[in-house]
Amino acid sequence: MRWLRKLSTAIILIAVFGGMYYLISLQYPFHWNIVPFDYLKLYLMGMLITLQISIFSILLSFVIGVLGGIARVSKNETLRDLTGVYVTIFRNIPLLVIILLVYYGIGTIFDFPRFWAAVIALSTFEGAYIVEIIRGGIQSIPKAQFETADALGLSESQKFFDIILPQAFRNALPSLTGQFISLIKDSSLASVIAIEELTQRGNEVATMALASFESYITVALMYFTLTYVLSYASKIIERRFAIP
Amino acid sequence: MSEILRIENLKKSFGENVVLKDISMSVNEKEVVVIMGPSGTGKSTLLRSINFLERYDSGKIFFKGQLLTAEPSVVRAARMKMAFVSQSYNLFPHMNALKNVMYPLVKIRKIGKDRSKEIATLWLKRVGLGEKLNSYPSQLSGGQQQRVAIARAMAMEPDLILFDEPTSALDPEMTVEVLNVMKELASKGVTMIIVTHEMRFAREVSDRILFMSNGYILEDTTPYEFFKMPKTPQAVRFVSQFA
Repeated sequence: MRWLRKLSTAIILIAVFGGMYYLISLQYPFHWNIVPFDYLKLYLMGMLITLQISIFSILLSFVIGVLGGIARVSKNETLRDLTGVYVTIFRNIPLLVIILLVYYGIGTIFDFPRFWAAVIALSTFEGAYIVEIIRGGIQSIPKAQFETADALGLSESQKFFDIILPQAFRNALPSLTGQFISLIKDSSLASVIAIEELTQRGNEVATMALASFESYITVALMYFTLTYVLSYASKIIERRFAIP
Repeated sequence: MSEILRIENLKKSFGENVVLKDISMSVNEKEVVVIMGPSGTGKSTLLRSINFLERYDSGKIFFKGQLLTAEPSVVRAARMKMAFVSQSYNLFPHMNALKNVMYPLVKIRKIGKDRSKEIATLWLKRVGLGEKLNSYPSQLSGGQQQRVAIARAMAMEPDLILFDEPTSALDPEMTVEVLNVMKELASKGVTMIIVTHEMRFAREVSDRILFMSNGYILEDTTPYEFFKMPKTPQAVRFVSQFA
């Protein structure tokens, strides 16, 4: 009785959220005709910036993660230790603080735009987690695979890029998706250095139109759309590259 | 007959545990040498030392007259001419059977893709897997996987193949199909060193049997003599277990 289960879930959800909405609306007059529709352009602009920050940060953090992940399992102990220190530092400082440090610290020395400060802060922060995800992916490959590659006479780079990493990525893909979804959501913290991304636009409209509830619900739905599309895309990729 | 492999005074220990105590042996071209002996006597370690999967502590290995050193280029060059088939997990799970055989041809022997594909297809047909070219390892039985591994090894045209208990992870039916392929290679004059517990196979196929016990080679003899009149008490005990 799958449809019955789905139906009951839907009824419960509608009852809970509808009830909440009703209770709030007794105290708070919703103005859906003004927000978001009068400000739709601002939200979309914000969403575009969020998307840009996220895409650059996903790419950069992925590069950091792959290089770091390989370094974490390399034979060079110094390299291994250095990456370990990087991971420890960035996993133990709040992202908000990292953003502020990059923007007010490094950003003022080298004088780069705040957009890139956000990208650097986000990618170094999420990169630390991705290093560990890739490391786990590599270490989950049976030792025999390394040995077979060696026994065939493959070079170190052939072994890594053709044999180990393709398998490690497949193992790591679900965790990677999770991390990238976190990254998109975490990008909302970039609003603290006044980047006009989605959350910041939400803040602006909330004060301008005196409609915080409507504004943040809009923002929430837009984030949800972004991350939902990403997780759906990743499921397709996962299926596409699955080893039978 | 010319000598293809010579080992002189090989020693290897894992911490306190001395696994290879003083191994000297040689293998001639076209010879099939089977290494037998109780578990934990260093058979696999010896085999793995030959192609440098295991670093030995002292001693010398000559392959085709050349001394093997730890120099990566020397090791790689030797490995290209020395195939290795182990118990299991030999194949790359993200490549189908054809790709598994083709990959080292393209990347190591540097043969063009089309030609590699022909060679790979040919060898997979020879081991009876002409229908399974596009199957992934997980879609093949253990015996079929080992046959792909053998096809991959043979396609590299090695001068020597090392088999490290190639059937020990297989059930009896599959063991037979893998042993049959190996028998055929033996009859074609492929030089092989095989670590195995398959007594009947050893008796039928090998030219020589090396009996190892406790880190030493105790007997180096023909299969007939080994099974009919083993000399050392360890070999007598070993043979009688299986009789």
